[in-house]
Amino acid sequence: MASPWTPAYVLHQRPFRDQSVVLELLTQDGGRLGAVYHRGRGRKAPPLAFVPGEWQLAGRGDLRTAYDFQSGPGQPLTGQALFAGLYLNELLLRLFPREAPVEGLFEAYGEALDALRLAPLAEPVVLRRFEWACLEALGLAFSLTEDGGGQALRPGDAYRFEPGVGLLAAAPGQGWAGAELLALAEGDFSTPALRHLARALFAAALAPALGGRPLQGARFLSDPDGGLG
Amino acid sequence: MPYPAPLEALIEQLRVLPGVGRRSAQRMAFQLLERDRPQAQALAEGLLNALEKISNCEQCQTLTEETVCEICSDPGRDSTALCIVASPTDQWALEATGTYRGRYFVLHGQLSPIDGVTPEDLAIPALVERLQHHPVEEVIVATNATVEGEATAHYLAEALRPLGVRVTRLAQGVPLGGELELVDGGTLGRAFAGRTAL
Ligand SMILES: [Zn+2]
Repeated sequence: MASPWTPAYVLHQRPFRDQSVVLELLTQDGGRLGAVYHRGRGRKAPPLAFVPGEWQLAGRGDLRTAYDFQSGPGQPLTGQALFAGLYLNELLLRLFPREAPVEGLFEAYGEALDALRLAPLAEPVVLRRFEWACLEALGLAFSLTEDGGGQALRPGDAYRFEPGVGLLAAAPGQGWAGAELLALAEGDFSTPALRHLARALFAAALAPALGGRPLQGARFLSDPDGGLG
Repeated sequence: MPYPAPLEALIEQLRVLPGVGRRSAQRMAFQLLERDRPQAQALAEGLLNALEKISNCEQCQTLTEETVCEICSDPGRDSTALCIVASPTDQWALEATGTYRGRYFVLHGQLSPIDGVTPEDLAIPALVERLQHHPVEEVIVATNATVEGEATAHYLAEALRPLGVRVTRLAQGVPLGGELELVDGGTLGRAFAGRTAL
């Protein structure tokens, strides 16, 4: 039975029956998929998380059967980068249901993993960029240059976030500075204040989709305040 | 027609075993009750007996019939080395190699944020405290070559860093994705010899 090879990452695996595992896959074209892989005698162990692979999948519905795979190039994450990677995986598992294709997410994930491998010190920025990619994929992204009413942000004003609306004028003495939000819109994460702002803002924007439950992996990040814990 | 309540309860109880689904549980229950009642009696007694007599070793958390297990109470074992394993089966796989003469600590699991398994669930704070009071020269982390095993090893290395103890990891020879209990003894022995600093 020849079927096309499906590019995918393993996000998570757990034992199933005696000699099988249930894999949570992130595929290039099909979004998240669940698949059972049989690990009988002589069958190779499925690739670790964070290593790209190609899979032969059969079946339909909630749980496919994975009957063969080839590992692609790429090393598993180690050390502190491993915990950042696990944080990404937990985000994907929490935010996206199986069987719901999401454009661009596979590529954003691969880029985040490459960045964690090359520059582990950039962890907070990598995580924020990926959270933003998740917001875009969920249709929850909002403008960082205009407020919810379509008015251009003013550097001297302060703003707060309102789910479903975007940025709105904040009460005096509260909120984030327009100048910092505009810097963030340019992709500027260069100061601790900007990274802190991005974390708080994206946490607020993702909170409804996470249903109020914190991410378990946040406490293991290099900056324990650097995740949606 | 529903099963009689005690039979239904037995089927549900059998399902707690790893890899046993509803259909297997039914087969087991019928096998025990229809064809093999003396064996069923022996199984029930064996289960109660083990439950009553086997508990966790006070020092290393492995399964034992004593308060302190045979390895922890053996004065001939090297008390300057502590090997950290995920499960008693991993400990027994390493013991079977005959390569290691130190002591053990059993975590009863591996760190997995996604599954909600925390350092507290694995008694890691208790392990750190133990090492503060009873220092060793080397801690050998023998968790699996899986994502969870690697995460556990890294977390342990960081948690033990303030103690200044040498922390090493079994690495070479254990294939990626490999679980220790499935690795052959010769390979495990070489993995011990070739451990690397964390
Ligand atoms: Zn013991």
